[in-house]
Amino acid sequence: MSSAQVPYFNCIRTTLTAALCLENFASQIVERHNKPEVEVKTSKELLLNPIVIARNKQEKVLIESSINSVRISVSIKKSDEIEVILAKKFVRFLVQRAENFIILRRKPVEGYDISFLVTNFHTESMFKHKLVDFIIQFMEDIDKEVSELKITLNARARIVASEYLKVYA
Amino acid sequence: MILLETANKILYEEVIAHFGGDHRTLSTFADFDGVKFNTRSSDDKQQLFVSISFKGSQDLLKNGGATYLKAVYGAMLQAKPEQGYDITLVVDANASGDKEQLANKVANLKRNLMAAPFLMVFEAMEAKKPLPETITIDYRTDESFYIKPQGDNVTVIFDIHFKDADDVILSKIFLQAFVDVRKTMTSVPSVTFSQKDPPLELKGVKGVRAGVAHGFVSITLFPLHLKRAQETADLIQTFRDYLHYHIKCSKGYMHTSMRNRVDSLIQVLNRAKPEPVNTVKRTFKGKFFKQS
Repeated sequence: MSSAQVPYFNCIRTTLTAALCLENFASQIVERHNKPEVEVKTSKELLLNPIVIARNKQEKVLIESSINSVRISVSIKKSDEIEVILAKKFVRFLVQRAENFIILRRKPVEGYDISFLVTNFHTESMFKHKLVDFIIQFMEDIDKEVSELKITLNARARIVASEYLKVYA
Repeated sequence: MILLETANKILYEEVIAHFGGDHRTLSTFADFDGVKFNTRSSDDKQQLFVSISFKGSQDLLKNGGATYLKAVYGAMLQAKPEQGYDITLVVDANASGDKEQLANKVANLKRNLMAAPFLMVFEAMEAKKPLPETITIDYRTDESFYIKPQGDNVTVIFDIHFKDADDVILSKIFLQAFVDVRKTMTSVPSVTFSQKDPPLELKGVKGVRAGVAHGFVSITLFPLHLKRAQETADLIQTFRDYLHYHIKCSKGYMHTSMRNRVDSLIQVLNRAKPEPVNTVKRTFKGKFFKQS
C-alpha cells in the first residue's frame, strides 16, 4: 500500500467500525420476515444517512447503513482502458465466487464496481474487526492486482515483440 | 515455444506413418488461418492423398503459388484437387530419397502456399522485374493481407480483425510494443500500426475493410531481409498467429493470477470466523461426558 492511500484506508476503517453496529431486527411491515433493511428500504426510520468516502473521482466507497445491515460499495481506480478491462475481469471473477465470500453481493450498486452486504447475522458469526480488515485488504488487493497485471502485460508485450523482431536482424 | 512452427505436426506424422507401409488413414484436421487438411490413403495403401482447403488459396495460387508449388512438389502435385479441397498432393509409400525430409516438405504445404507470393515479390525485386502495384490476399473471413513493393522495400500490411472489444485493447498494447521495441533495434523491419483507418499505402486499393475492430499493421522489409527470402517469408506469414497466440497466453496468465488472488482473499475472510469451540472437559482420570 502506498503511503498516499493510508489516510483513505484509515478513514474507511474507522467509518466501517462505527457503521458495523448492528442488531437483530425483524421487519416491521411483514410478519415473520427478517430482511436486511438497507436492501428492502421499507421503513425510512430504520435507515441511516449514506456516506461516501472518496479519494478522487474514481476511487470511492459508499457506505449505506441501517439498523440490521450495512451495504458497502467500492469503485476501483481505472486510469486507462487496460485497467478498465482488468478491473472488469477481476470483479467478474469475484462475483462468480460470491457464495464463498458470504458477504459479497452478486450485483454491484449502480455506479460502483463491487458491493458487499453485511447483516447482523454475519457480525454475530464473525469477528467484526476481522471483517473490517477483510474489506480493507480486499480494496488493497484489487489495486495491487490490477497494477501488477498491467506491468506484466506490458513486459510480456515487449518480450514478444523483441523475440519476433530479433529473428529478422 | 515463443515463435510458431510453420510445419503441421499431424500432417508430418501421418506422412511418416505412411512411409512405414501398411497404414490406412482417413482423417481431417485443422491448422492456423482456417486451413483444413485431409489425408486419405489409397485402397492398396501405396499412396497417400494430402489435400488442403484454404480460403485464400485462389489468391495465393494466382500470385505465384502455382509456380512455387510446382517447383517444390513437382510430380507430387495432383492436376485435379480432390472434391471440396483446393490442392492435393500424392505421396508414394516407396518414394526415393530422404523420407524425413520428404515428410517435412509435405508438412510445410500450407507454409509454402502462403510463402509463395512473398517469395515471388522478393525474387522479382532482386531481378528488378516489374511488379503489380499491390497484391491482395483475402486469406480469412474479414481479414486480408497486402503486399506492396515500394522502391527497394516491400511493405506487408496485415488487416487484423478482432471479434472481442477487449482484444482490440490488448492488441493495441502488443502492437505498440512492436513499434517501441523496433526503435531500440537495428536492421529490423519497420513496424507501424493504425487502428480503424487503413494506412495511406492502401489508398485506392479496392475492398479494404475499416472499422473499430480492424487494426492495420504495416511491416516494411528492407533489402537486407529480402535476401534471406525463405526465413523472412516464414516469419512474416506467422505474424498474425503469433500475435493472437500471445494475446491468448497473456489472458490465460491473467486468469491464473486472478484465481490465486481470489483464493488468498477467501482465506482472509475465513480468518474472520471464530474457531469452533470444542474443548472436551475431562475429569482427573481422563473420563468425559458427551453432551448432545
